[in-house]
Amino acid sequence: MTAQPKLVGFACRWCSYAGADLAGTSRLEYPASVHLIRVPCSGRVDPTFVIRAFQRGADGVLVAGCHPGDCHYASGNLFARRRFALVKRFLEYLGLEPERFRLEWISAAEGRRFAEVIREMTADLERLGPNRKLREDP
Amino acid sequence: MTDRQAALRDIAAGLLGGGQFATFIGFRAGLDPSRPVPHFVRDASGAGALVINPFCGAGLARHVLEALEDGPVGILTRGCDGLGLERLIADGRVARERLHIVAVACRGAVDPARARAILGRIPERAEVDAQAVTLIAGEERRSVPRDSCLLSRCLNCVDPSPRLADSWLDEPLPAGVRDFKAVSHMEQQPPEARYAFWARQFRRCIRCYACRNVCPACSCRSCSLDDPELQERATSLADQFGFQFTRAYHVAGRCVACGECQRACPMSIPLSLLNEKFLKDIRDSFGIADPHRPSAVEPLACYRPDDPESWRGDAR
Ligand code: SF4
Ligand code: SF4
Repeated sequence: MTAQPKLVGFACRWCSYAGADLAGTSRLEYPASVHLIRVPCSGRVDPTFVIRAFQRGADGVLVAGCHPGDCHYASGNLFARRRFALVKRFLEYLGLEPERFRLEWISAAEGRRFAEVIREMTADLERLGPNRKLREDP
Repeated sequence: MTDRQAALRDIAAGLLGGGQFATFIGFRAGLDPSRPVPHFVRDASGAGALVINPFCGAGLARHVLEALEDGPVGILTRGCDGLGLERLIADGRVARERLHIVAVACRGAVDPARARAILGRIPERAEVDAQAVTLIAGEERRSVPRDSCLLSRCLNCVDPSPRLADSWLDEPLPAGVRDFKAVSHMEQQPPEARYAFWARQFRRCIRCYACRNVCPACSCRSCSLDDPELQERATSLADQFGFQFTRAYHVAGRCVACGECQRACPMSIPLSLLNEKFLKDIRDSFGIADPHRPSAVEPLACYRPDDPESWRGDAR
């Protein structure tokens, strides 16, 4: 049996963080691989947080925010979408596997969706194995 | 003396003699004829020191920040300098009306190290045209292809003339379109090869901060790269990735592709290959043509309702 992958999730407090709560209170099963960090908005996530997570041993990073149109601050998630579209491509350009970084829209009512994303991403990361990139020589 | 150089000296002397301008920024001869250095002229009598020749390689735009502290500035401006000035103006760091832009069309600058290697000695003069470069030392004249001895940023240049100008030393040359060939080539390598490549490049960084200090898009008074954590631990590969990512990302959407960072890097790290990746993706993902030319709204300071979303699979 392999060690469980480490998945760092940045979750918006207005939607995805509550979605994770709902997944818990609904007793939905999802892997314990995710370390969730509550942020005020997906737009608050500085891309250097993502790099930092990888450097400190994350195997994958998820940024989760409100669906377009539902942002508590109107447009934080739309700025985040632009920014992370570039960042995701850039991480791949540096040699990281595409499955290691994701941005997802998960509302407070979508406990099921939250569990599904964590399951899916954990399976992807198990398949890839531990990440050593961005911190160790090849 | 070339016509352009004579005209430049006249304009500089006129601006400084008029009393309105405190500084004129250009080049003067260096100790080595193939390495002229950026120069601040402070009064009309000093204008005779100004030179223009194909060895004038350094970017000048960023120097206006220092010079403007003493009053309005005149500046010799090629295409790359012009984009840098546009950037500083768009960022609110420089007021357009405090500049007098002396525009010149540029056919490329000679890399002094490569020229010396070709000639076996220091070249004294050079002539650059659209086809070739001629290196001259004493009686010897040698013509070589442009890509053998121009600065790499000049080979990819599509902005030979500035878009902003108050006076012209010659006729502007037409602008072109960037093709991002080097980025496309990199994208086609296998991921493991890309990672190995960047790890090898970033390992060499000595944290001299030249890349930041010369960059016209990187002039915040308080800079993330001054974070003590980044400064103290320059030895781990993780921190090298952190530093390089932060530098490149912080100019994403604002980089003018002047290539000055790469030219200044003493370790020859191909920084343009990072900057241009962001530029290419901004063009392809957000449909912004020529994203290196400053526009009213920065690409990352806006959004569209139909921006692309593709998160699980390969976004390339
Ligand atoms: S990042 Fe490099 S190429 Fe881009 S504006 Fe700055 S110095 Fe010029
Ligand atoms: S100029 Fe080159 S060596 Fe110096 S800090 Fe920048 S990347 Fe590192």
